[in-house]
Amino acid sequence: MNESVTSNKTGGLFLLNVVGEEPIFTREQFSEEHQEIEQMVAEFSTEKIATIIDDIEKQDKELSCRLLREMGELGLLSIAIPEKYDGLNMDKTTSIIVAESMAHGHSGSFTTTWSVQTGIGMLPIVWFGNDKQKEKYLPKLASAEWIGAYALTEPESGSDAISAKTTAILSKDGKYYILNGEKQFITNGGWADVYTLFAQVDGSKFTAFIIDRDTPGFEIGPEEHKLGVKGSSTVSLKLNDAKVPAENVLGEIGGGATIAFNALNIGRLKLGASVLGGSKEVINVTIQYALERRQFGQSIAYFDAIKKKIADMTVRTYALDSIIYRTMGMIDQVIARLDHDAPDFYLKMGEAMEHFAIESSMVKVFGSETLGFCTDTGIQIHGGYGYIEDYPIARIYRDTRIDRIWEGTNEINRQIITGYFMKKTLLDEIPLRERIKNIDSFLSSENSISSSQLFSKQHNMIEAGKYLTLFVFDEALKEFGQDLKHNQQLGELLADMFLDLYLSDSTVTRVKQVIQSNGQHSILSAIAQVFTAEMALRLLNQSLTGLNDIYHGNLPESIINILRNFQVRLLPRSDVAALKRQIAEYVYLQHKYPF
Amino acid sequence: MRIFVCLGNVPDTTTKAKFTENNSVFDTTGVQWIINPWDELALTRAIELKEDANSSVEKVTVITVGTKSAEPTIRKALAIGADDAIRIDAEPNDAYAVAAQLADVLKDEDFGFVMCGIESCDYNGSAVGGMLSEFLDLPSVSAVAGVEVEGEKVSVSRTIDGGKEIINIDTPFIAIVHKGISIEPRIPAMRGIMMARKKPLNVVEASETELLTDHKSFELPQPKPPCKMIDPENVKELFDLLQNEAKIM
Ligand SMILES: Cc1cc2nc3c(=O)[nH]c(=O)nc-3n(C[C@H](O)[C@H](O)[C@H](O)COP(=O)(O)OP(=O)(O)OC[C@H]3O[C@@H](n4cnc5c(N)ncnc54)[C@H](O)[C@@H]3O)c2cc1C
Repeated sequence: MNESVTSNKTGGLFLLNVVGEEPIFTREQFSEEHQEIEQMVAEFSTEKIATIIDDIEKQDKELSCRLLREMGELGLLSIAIPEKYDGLNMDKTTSIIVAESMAHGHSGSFTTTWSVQTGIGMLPIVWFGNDKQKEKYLPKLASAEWIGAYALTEPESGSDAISAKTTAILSKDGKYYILNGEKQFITNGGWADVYTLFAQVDGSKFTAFIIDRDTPGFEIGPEEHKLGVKGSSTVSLKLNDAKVPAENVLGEIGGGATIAFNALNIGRLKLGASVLGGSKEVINVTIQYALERRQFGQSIAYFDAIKKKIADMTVRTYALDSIIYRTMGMIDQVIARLDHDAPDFYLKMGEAMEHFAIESSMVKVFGSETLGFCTDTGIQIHGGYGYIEDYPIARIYRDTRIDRIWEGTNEINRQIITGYFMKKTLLDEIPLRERIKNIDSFLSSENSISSSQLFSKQHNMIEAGKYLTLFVFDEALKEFGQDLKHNQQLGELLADMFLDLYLSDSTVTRVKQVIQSNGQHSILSAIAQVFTAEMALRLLNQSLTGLNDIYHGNLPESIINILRNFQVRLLPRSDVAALKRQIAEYVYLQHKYPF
Repeated sequence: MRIFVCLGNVPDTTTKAKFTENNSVFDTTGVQWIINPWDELALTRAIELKEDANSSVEKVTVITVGTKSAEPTIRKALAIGADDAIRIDAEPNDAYAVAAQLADVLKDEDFGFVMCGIESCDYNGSAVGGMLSEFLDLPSVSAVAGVEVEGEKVSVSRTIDGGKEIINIDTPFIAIVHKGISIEPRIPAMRGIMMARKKPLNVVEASETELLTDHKSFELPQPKPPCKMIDPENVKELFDLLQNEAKIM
């Protein structure tokens, strides 16, 4: 990766930086190797997965496991495994490129199976296993001779995962832990050989264990009947005095939370990449349909209402793409600086990823909601045919609904976004309070970027948006302090404002970078303009709602004046409707999502 | 024994072809380039032969006439398993020029045989293989659907009307290969992709070659007329349309 890209060491700094001040990593900077891997996975997915979707949907264990083994032979299951255990030990960007490109297979079910195998089913052992555990499990998980699963959720603890009730008690001879409890909704659970499972040792020390399928007292429940991803396996697990050898403790006794959360951080980025690939595929099948379908004597694609929808899908997808690779680029850059041979390398890597927990949750939330939006809009464009199973979009619609629920529900992820901003502010990890002090001088100043610069209007709007968001955040902290976390509506609203700023900052910076290196591109410029204009309107709307909540509906004159000042700065001056027409028409000419 | 495989760098088969300059030049913007499918099958067979302990094949070299823009395609061949590559630095203008340039390099090389696809899916000229054998003054077999190598002995099989022909052939020779030479192309593995970067890709200067063709223009096929749906019960209407509208009965 380009060394000059993003020297940011911690997340959330985008809120303080001037738009485009620092270069960001984007897909335009993929190395040749990245591109070749992307192409290879596209080929595999198109030829080996997309051709057998209907069979995969029948929940055929042999078929899915065979596909995994084929991926293992190609090395696609060992990207994160150290070389010492036959792995490839590649950067995180590579693993999310693979996740994105898997979408060419159009199978949410198989993506689910694969993503547990290479993610939560394997990474806890990569990161926290001792040499013996790694030697025993990693090569077999990398070849898919063994299937992996991850069992955290219980019937009574989902979002509140750490409150799990499963217990583990050391046997008198010290050789075994005796586990009792139940796990719920475990992906790959019916097929797996190895489970990373969490339990409370001595009632309160949350700990991870590696459980082999044939452990006495370990029982696998029946398959759930699901709304989507029907071809993947999801079961409950029962532990009735299950005898787990003491050497199967993963990491430290009481260290379970670190293991659980580390797996989730990278999981959120990978999920983001999967849904990014999915959104592009949905755009592709939808425009193909729209161009062919004729009503009132013309292709429906050229109705203005349809153009708007295609443009909305394209703009959101472009923005999602921009934040995913920007985030991954920052994380990879921090990881690259670590000593890879140090005994605490994985701990440090986990910390590096936690620094970007805000951005990872943003990717998860916006990604899952973007694919949700794209499939919903895609079905609308398909009309009645979208509702019929003969077209792929109905299945994609069902398959993606889970993305807003797992890897932390979007409610939980929005709390993470605002929660981390609170924490980073209160601990002065990022100097937000310093910046908030500048609001008065900002409000009395002229726009900071001169109008001759590329995207100066957008820059100034985003800068104003950042100040407005900080202003509302500061007012919220003044009113509620730490208790802001109990005002969830305000917390979610702030999370969305932060998210919108990360998206617009990343989108405009990316477009600017592309134009600076390849020359003008009217459609990319239209995307930057549309996203910023709509972001500005959302911020104005949300800040009004938020401040009214903070002031219990009695906004003081001083606040109204400040809002008026922001309103002038954030008032869009772009013909968004015309820009959307241009974007859609360009996409039609390319016959696919073109970026 | 060393095998050479000729690689064409062609637009992906799903490309929607567009032309510029009065329909005389193929518009390459946004085109995804791939290994010519027949060449890819030939490469797959060559690698299988190298992996086969009974054959004396030790090295597979891919050779391409193309500019730097063809290198991703060459890298893919190296990632799939070719040992090294030669790129003859020139635009592959027409079959004659390509064959002449390939021959100019191959005449100084030692090999058991050269494989090239029977045609390429861009201009489908089906001429390079034959011209190459003429330039090198070597025998060639066309429409080869199988190659076996037992030690140093080579036999090729061809699909012919109603059956199969198997020929033992002395090396060196040119094999002009058809579908069936291998079952399906290989997808490169991650390690292959990583190693491809370390394999030699030698760029050689192209010899002066006369250009004997000149593209006047290209024409796209007429767009398909809309499809008419007929009720399965309504055989009469179907006959009527076939007879009077389509005029094929
Ligand atoms: C198909 C499928 C596969 C799965 N695979 C796995 C797996 O492999 N391993 C595994 O361990 N788990 C797995 N899960 C479980 C999944 O991670 C949980 O379902 C998810 O974390 C939500 O937990 P829950 O279902 O108990 O919902 P709950 O936690 O009960 O949430 C219900 C609702 O309440 C909201 N809510 C909860 N707490 C709060 C709060 N503090 N503030 C505001 N709102 C709140 C939630 O956002 C949600 O909208 C899977 C689930 C499914 C459906």
